[in-house]
Amino acid sequence: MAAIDVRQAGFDSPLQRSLTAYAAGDWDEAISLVDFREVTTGRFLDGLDQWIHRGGELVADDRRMIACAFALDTVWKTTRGPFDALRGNVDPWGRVTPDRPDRVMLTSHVAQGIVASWVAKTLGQTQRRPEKAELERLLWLAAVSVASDGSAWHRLREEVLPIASARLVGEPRLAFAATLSAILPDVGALRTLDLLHRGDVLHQEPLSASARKKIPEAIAALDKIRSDSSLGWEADLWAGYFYLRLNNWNLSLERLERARSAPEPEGVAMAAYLSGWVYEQRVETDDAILAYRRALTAMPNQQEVVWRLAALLYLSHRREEAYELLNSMPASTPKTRSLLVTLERGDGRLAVGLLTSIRRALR
Amino acid sequence: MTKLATLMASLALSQIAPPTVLPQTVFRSSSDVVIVSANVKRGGTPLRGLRATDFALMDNGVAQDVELIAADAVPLDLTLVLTGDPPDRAVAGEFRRSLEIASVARRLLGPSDRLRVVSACADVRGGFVASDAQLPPLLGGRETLGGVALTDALFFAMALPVPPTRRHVVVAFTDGWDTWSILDTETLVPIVENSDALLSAAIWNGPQSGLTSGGGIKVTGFNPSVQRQRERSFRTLESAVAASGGSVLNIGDSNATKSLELLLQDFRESYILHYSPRGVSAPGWHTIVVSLRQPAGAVVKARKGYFVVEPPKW
Repeated sequence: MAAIDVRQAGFDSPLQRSLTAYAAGDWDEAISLVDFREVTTGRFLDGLDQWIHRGGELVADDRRMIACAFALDTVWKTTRGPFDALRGNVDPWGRVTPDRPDRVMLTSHVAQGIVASWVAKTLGQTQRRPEKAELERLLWLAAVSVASDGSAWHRLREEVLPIASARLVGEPRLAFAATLSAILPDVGALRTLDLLHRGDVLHQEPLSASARKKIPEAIAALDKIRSDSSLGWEADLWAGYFYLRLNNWNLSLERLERARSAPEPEGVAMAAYLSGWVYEQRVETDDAILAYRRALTAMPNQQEVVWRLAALLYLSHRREEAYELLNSMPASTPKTRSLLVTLERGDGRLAVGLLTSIRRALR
Repeated sequence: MTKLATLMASLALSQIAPPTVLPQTVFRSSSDVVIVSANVKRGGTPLRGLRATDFALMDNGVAQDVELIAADAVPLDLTLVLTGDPPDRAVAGEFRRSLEIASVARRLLGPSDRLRVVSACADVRGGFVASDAQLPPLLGGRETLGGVALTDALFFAMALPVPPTRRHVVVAFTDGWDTWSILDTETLVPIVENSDALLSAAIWNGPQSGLTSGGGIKVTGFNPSVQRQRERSFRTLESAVAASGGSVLNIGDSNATKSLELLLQDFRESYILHYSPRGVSAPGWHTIVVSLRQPAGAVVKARKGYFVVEPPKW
């Protein structure tokens, strides 16, 4: 079925139909029923509220949960534009205007934090039900994930986590998100990127005095989280990253080495890439080459790693190897997100898996 | 045989004295033979008719005996580094301009020469081109996000392994502003110093013009930090060209293809010197200084040096 252009038709009716389809389990069709490119976040969320309060066969709390799932699923899809994969870690709070829901398009990454905040308020109104406990947990984690991917650290800290933490007591991922959301707005991005100005990586990013002061506190918080074995490698990875930002190469390497135990290829690649970078700063070329090779083994075709490794090989007079590496990159715009961008979006990397699990839990 | 970094040998030679031709014309420096391309001008005009004995060459401060090689019989690999938007974003015209430059380049080359094109867009890629039809896929026709990855593209261009019996010349058409590269701008000069290629640049608009056509964006006026970054990028490119012994041509909005003809002519009017190093220790960096014994206001542009790799200890 072709998507309805909301500029031509009224929006509210198609959105209601879309939600009804989503509630019936037609996930992808539901999201594609409406062309959300011209929709503001405010209008979208108002429509969801209307659907919740309209009543029907489902009880109100079920409608709230379905609406939350739909909201997160939809905003995730609408914000996957071509520049999303390049956007660095800059919290839109206080930097991007307007950030009012009625003036932020649903395709903007700013919408991610706004939607996550709405989900927190809406989900917070539901009654706790043991049979819905797993679904609720997934929705909370997905809200955190979507907000993190949008770099909405302020909203996450002020509007999502307080309610989430009261509902999911003792959830380590929330403690993790709280630590990151407290420090990342000050730390900013490892590299800035826009069409006119590409900042050099790890050479000249300013680190504010407040960031320098907060990083040790963040590392201490991560060390507490580290005791949870499922998050140990992530805590080490982030500690390694923060020590790197402080240019404390020894401690950075020590923590990144521990993060090599990551069960996920992305984690292994991130730890290896950052290690390679540290070795480069210490002019330990052979170790840097080995680290970059580990990163590529874990996640092939990462452009950042390929170029840096090729340059090191070339300057080490291994020119044929360097050129072969460059020539082996697939001839297409890279679809994989930069390792740095992935790292700096925290739990954003978990969004796809969480949204899939939510759909399963809704059945 | 020790493996060495090489110096780029370039084009034509003195038209008066028959040059010395090596039994095997090899354009890669070795511990036995080092090859240097030298461009000589007086008052902006190429100085013709020079002989080997007119040149003075110092390798790490030690004078060397040089000979000249005939360059006109040696095939050339020309790599053009260009920017270009996809066809549907060709409003800025860079795509069409790049196609035209590459097409003209093919016609300026000889039957044994080869043309390679490298796109300096956000998604750097390149390849040899045997016909105009191969140009659009290399330069555009795909999703690009704007931005110019100049350092990355120059690395890709200079890193091409060229057979020892060919010369490699890289010409970049650019405004010198890198907005997208993964590699740091400072990496460019060491890369050029370690390459066999000669690098030259045709500059659309330098930082002083206040304009840029990089990545299809025409912008006037920048905030100070952006301007500083732009100037640093430009100066690094100038240093890299100087390190390789090439030329920078400021062309503004003038005829780009004419500029290419001038740069190629520059190459063809250069001299190729070769020598077997005497009295200098092998491994490490070798600084080369080339001058004329009778300077008389002549300006000599040549590579600044080459690197000798320590041989393996087995």
